[in-house]
Amino acid sequence: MGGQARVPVLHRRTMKRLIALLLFAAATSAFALDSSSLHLLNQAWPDVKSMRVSEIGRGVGVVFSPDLSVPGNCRFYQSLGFACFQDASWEDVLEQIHTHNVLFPEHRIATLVLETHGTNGNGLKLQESYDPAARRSYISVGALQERLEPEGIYFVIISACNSGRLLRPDIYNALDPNNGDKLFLPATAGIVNASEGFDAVHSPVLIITPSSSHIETTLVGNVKELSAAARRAVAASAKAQWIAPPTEFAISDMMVQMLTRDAHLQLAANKYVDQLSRVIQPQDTSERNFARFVTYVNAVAARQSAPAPATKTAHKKSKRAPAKTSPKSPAG
Amino acid sequence: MTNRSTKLILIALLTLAMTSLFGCKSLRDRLSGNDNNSDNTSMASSSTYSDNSSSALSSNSSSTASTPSSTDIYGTPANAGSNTGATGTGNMTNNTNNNMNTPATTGSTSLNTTNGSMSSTTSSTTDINTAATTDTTVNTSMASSSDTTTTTTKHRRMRKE
Repeated sequence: MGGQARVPVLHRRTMKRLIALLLFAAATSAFALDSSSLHLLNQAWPDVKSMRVSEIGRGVGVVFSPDLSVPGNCRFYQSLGFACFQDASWEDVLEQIHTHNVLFPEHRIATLVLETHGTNGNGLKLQESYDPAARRSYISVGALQERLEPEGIYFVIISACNSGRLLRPDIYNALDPNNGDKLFLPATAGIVNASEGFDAVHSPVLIITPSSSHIETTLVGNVKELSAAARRAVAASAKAQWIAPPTEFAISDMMVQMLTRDAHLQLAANKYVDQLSRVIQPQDTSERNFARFVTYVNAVAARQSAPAPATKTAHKKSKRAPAKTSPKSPAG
Repeated sequence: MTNRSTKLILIALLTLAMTSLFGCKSLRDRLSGNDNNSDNTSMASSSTYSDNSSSALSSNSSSTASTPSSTDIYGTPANAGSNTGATGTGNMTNNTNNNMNTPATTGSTSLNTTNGSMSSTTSSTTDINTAATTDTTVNTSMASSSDTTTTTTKHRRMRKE
């Protein structure tokens, strides 16, 4: 009888273990997809809770194609703590990045976000405008790795259309100027390719793109849309850097998603895509992202402008119960 | 009885595990409205769409996540030039995207163009190059029972093609 009773008990235990295992597997698999992207992003851009508006973009550089920018855009990003570069020539941009890291070692950038054109995945393009005679240049992904490694930049996040196609092996190091793409307008300011002996496999520079190809977009906003505290913080940061306070800015969907650690953002590293995509997010999605960005900056500004509560609390507590208090330094 | 119920629980858990493995992402995307498939579906099933970003109409807004049908794979964007803005190749929302990257000097003068397949949509855009534009969309739909008129503020959008 005792032996017969033990069998169901053992059976139940095994079943319970199985159920626990399955529950664990279900929970793990549900979050596995997002965690890989998040992990990748955290590597490139650590998720530090910014306490000051001027520290939001610390350690991160942004490259803007002039025609994807607005007047004073770089001043806005600089006010947020980013290093900002805007030029139609990749050679000039690379030179500016080098100068920045040499002159401002305390604000060195290790991650670069490219707010540029993808030219249907045929080359990273910087241009003044779509006028064929306008200043315009292209760079290959291999060239980026080769040129940015000596600058200590190990993460390049590409926020451009069909960026996954830029990593195709046949154009990885050297772009094809005769690809037949109408968007591939004359390279009036040159094409930057990797040197012939460059081996991308051994490059420590990680190229991060959205995992699916699509058309990336940028919205133009006004500083007036920020809260009063945020505007004050932006103006103060600009003043501290001896730059004029910005009035307008351009913010991409991907930048917002990275800043706010959006769970929908799916990233891939050193992974190429063949297929050209014409998919574009609805305007309303961009508007929602814009609103999230405004909320994010406002929240940081609110933290920044908030009085240090720790000191006051400690002071009050010390009056009531001096024995229990422990002195705390104010945050920020 | 205990065995049967345990087996049932096991089967349910297995199903849950498989769903979370393969279906979780798409489910989440669908729920959040970021799914491209659902965008296409909504466009196909409903002949009306709205240009407005009002939260009340957010369920319709996803219909713009579509591939512009009149642009070929290597096509010049609607703004690459001075006279292509009126072709409506940019975006089906018929908003400022048609001319988003074009400087004011080369901008097209006419933007009231694109018409959806079944719906009759009229958009009036105040200024293509201002930071914030106002789209007033009067949507007379064959599918919907009532007409919707909403005015919202939208930001100028640029495509990184």
